[in-house]
Amino acid sequence: MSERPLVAFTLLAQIAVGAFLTLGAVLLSSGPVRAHPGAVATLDGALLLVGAVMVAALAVSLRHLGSRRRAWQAVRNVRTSWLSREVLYAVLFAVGGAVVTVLRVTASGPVALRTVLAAGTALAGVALVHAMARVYRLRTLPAWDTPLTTVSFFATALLLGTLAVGTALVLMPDVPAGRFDGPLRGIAVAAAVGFLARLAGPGRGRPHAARRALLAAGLLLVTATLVAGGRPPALLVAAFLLALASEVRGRYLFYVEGTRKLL
Amino acid sequence: MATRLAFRFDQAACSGCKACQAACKDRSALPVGVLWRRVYEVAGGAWRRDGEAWRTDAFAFNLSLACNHCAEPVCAEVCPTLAIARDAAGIVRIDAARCLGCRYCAWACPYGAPQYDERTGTMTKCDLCADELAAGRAPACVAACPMRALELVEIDADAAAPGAGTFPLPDPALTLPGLVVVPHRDAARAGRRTAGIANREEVGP
Repeated sequence: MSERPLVAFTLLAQIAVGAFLTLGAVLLSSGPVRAHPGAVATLDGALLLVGAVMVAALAVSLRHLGSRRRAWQAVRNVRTSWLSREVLYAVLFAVGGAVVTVLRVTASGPVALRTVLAAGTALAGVALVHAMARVYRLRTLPAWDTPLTTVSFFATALLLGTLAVGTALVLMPDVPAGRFDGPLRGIAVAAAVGFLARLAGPGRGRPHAARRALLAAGLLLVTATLVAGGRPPALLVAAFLLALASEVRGRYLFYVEGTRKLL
Repeated sequence: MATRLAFRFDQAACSGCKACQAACKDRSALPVGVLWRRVYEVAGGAWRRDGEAWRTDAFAFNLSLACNHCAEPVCAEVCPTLAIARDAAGIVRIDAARCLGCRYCAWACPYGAPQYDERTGTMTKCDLCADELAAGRAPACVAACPMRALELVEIDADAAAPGAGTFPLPDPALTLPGLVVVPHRDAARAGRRTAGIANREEVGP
């Protein structure tokens, strides 16, 4: 059975959550960004991209189902099933994110309401990544039933989410010059932590060699941008591509190795 | 004393004819790739040099396995749509009208019991031939066994089923399976040494 839809769903959703949190962190922490309407508009544009990524994640997740018409029933067992909880948190994150995006882009609603909604959406995103990991931490599958599964999923969200935002800020048109220098440095530091966490995480041996080489190369690139004072910014784009390739391979191996059973 | 139903499988009595597997597949008209009951051929050992002679410690025995209608069915616990439930008789059933075909139960079950049916896009599995039981008859697999190696018995509802952790079965404490195994004389050896499933291409996954 192909797990490709699940590889795509889990990675896209983790990118969306990581990127949403990163955008929030940039907005909250950077005075130069908040003070410049053009910079804030750039962040709102990136928020729209995050929404597109989450919609793609939900759409691709349906491809894993044998009976898609019944997908709405997947939240019936929130009492004992982490899969139901995952679906619930995914919907809450997507809907919350959509409302926040609409309110920001149309500049409507009081700021306090937008802030509370954004905080709630961020919380739903964190709960989503946690639930995603718990889905796989089954007592009957020892390879997955470890806290390292949770740590790995959050590390992936950190790594891909920060670098996705970094890539958007480098590639998007009409980005105000210089306004994002500070946030891009922060993104490089966070990405370096993400690369290190993934390198220290589970997965050894030949099947993981290429994945780990990509992670090491990505770590070198973000370290180089930090040493060079954030120049050239295109290195962040290259680091994102390396991280993405590594995580696609890693998630594929996660399913192959985790579902291997004797019976 | 409260009891529950369990399959009792005598490994030494089984000849590996797979009549149980065929009877199950035939009765429920299962498609290619779906086997609610599977006979695993467990094999191990090797030829070893002993001075000028070569001796073998090779062994092989069978394990006939279907859904064990666990007292704590992990498949029902994880099913997101509540499509799987254990009924009053202790039979764990799938309601196909509620099943998404997400295959999460197949991951969770350590016995490979829930299986995906491409024709319907839903999960399927052994229902203990509930209609046969209601008519006072044995399940098809039990009725078909020429060696009387497979039986349906009642066990203490609260006690661990003997032999249910025999290699290559998982720890029965995980789900409390309705399964009693009378181990083959080489079963303990298989657990200690390198042994595996010799007919993987037949039983999957």
